[in-house]
Amino acid sequence: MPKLDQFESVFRAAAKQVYTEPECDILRVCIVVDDADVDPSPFTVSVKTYLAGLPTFDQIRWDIFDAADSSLSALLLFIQDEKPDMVCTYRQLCARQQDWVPGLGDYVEMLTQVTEVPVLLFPNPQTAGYRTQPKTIMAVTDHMSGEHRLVTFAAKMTPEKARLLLAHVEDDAIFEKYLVIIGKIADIDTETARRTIRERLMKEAREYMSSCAEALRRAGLEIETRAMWGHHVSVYQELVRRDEIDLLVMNTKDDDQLAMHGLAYPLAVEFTQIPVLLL
Amino acid sequence: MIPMLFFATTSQHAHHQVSLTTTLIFTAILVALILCLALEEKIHAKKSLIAGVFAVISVLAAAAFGLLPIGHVTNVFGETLHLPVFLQGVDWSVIGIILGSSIFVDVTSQSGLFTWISLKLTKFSQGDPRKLLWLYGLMTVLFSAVLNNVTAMIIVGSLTVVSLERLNRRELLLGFLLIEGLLTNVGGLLTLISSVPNIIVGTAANISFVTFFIVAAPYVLVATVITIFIGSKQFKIFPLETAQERRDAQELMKQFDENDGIDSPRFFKFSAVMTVAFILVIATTSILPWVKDLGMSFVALAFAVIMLIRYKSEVDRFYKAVDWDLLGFFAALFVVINVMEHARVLHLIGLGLQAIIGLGQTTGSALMLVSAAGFSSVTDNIPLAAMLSKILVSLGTSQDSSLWWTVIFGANLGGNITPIGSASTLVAVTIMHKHKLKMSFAGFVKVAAPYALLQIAVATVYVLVFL
Repeated sequence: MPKLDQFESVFRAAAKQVYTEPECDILRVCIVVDDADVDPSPFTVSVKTYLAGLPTFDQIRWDIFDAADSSLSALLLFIQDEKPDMVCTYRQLCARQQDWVPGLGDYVEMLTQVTEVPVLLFPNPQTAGYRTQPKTIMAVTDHMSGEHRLVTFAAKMTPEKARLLLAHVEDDAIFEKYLVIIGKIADIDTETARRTIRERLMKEAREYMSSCAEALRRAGLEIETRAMWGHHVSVYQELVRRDEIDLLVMNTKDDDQLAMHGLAYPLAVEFTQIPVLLL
Repeated sequence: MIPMLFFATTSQHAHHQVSLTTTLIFTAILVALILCLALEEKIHAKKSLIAGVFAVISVLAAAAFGLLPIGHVTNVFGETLHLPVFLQGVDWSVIGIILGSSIFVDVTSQSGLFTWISLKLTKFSQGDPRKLLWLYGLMTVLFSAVLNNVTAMIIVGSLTVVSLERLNRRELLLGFLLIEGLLTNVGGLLTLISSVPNIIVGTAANISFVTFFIVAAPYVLVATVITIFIGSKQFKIFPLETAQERRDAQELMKQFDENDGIDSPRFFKFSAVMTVAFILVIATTSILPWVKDLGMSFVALAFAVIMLIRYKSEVDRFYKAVDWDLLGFFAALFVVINVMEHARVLHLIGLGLQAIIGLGQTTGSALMLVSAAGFSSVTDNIPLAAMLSKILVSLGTSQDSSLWWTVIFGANLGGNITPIGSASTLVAVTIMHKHKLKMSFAGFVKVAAPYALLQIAVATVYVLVFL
């Protein structure tokens, strides 16, 4: 019954995803370090400066966890028990410099996979300088529509007078892969499918981002949106370079898994020189 | 005794002598056709093909028995027309109305007009399930009246699915769909062009659009209110209780964008104007100069052509969307019924009908309505309407007789007793199955039959008391 499907599609398209702010106040932050012998450690000072723009900064309860004296399981247990709103740490936590490999380090990988707490990941303090508040924040996803939590966290991380960028990138290669299959199905007109799916994918992302922008501008935030086609990592690299991004916010978990999903890992590994908030 | 009676009966039309045996042979063909239509799902064949096969068989048999008036047709100017004998019985007026209206509705729906109306009403409900049920119920009736039952069920049913999913009230879906399905056949009674039986019987009885509306509207209003009221109780569709629930639902409903489906605001406005104009012209066809001579089929086809101008380079896609199975079915059915008329089968059925009518104004009319409803609950109501209207014409039934209305009410409302009784209830069940809601044939009858029986009882009282 094609007409039934046709009308259902029209009504589903008319049911928009409009941004609504979920409750996610950052009131408790756990800073995980492996050099707590200096008190306060330079990293702790740097993190506090970096987060000074948070609307709830004055109410935050800070916990410092020294991972150098603890096992990974003890760290995970601590996070599970204390349930902080955010964990701040850095790449290659508890790894000796000579063992560093491209990646996040065992501790960080386990943190992002096992716990559900957002992890604000900084470059390793040994290779990065002192941090000031971020000026341009970018929230990235390949499925922007309905990402209320991602947008809200990104907005909260955006201090006054800073700029928030919402970026949605559809991967050309994945799209083409599906079109090859569509091209082999006689019942579907390939050109119509290409045109309409491309339009719809962009339209949904743009409409949702525009509802985010409208709501967040009311709250006094400077916000820009980008929706484009291309190769994920290359496009994000270009955006980070061109817009001088100094904080990247992204989802790491799908609904049905805790492990870091396909897009998050390469991005987290790629952008080693800027902080990344992994939700 | 029966043959004596059979041949003694005279009709307005001169018929050649037909033996009872011949008539019974053709009666068997008609019964076989009706059985095949009732078992359409079982034999996996489309209606048009079933009727087409029986049209071929009956025309050939009629030719063999010498029953057909083979020869040329002469028009009022005395000109001779070369129209094949098997096409002479087709009611092209009915075919024209259905073809024209379906193209008109299809093109108009591309403007986003119907989805705009639907979404406006959805937002007006503010997400309250009880209000939503009333609004969707009224919308079903209105769309069934203006468009057709099937399109109405498709539009309202698919919107119901999306709205209830958005409100996280999927548990109410079954009740909503069932009530809407039942209301399509009630709404199908509202105007002369709302359903095919109305068109067939109304055309045969020469009932004008306005008269039809005035007679049917009070019943439709009462039946709609009763159906929604009882449905809301039975399926526990209650209003929202707390202010927070109302606020949340209101927010969710606000997210519907009624303008999303409108690609061209100009075409949208044009479609709205044309829809109003279409209804007005159809309503006044019987009094408009020139148009009254051309009839409603001309109006429907003319409006379809005007709307098609918007898509002048791609009109073929609308031709493809026409329900050719339905039109083929009508054409073939008219051929079969024409043969049955020549074979005196309709005359034979008319004798039975006369016996029912002879029971008196009250009992006869009531029995006629109930029988029509019972018959149309198990098979298509279109052959029933076509046959009965032919018979009523041949019996010389006056235009203001309530018998026409017994056929109209019975044929429409009978469709609510079973899921195969009408195309729109079948669509309702299809939507249920598509969304994994269990609804068997028996399950449908168990839930829907009490509503249908109540509607039929109210219709019987209405016809007996007011018509």
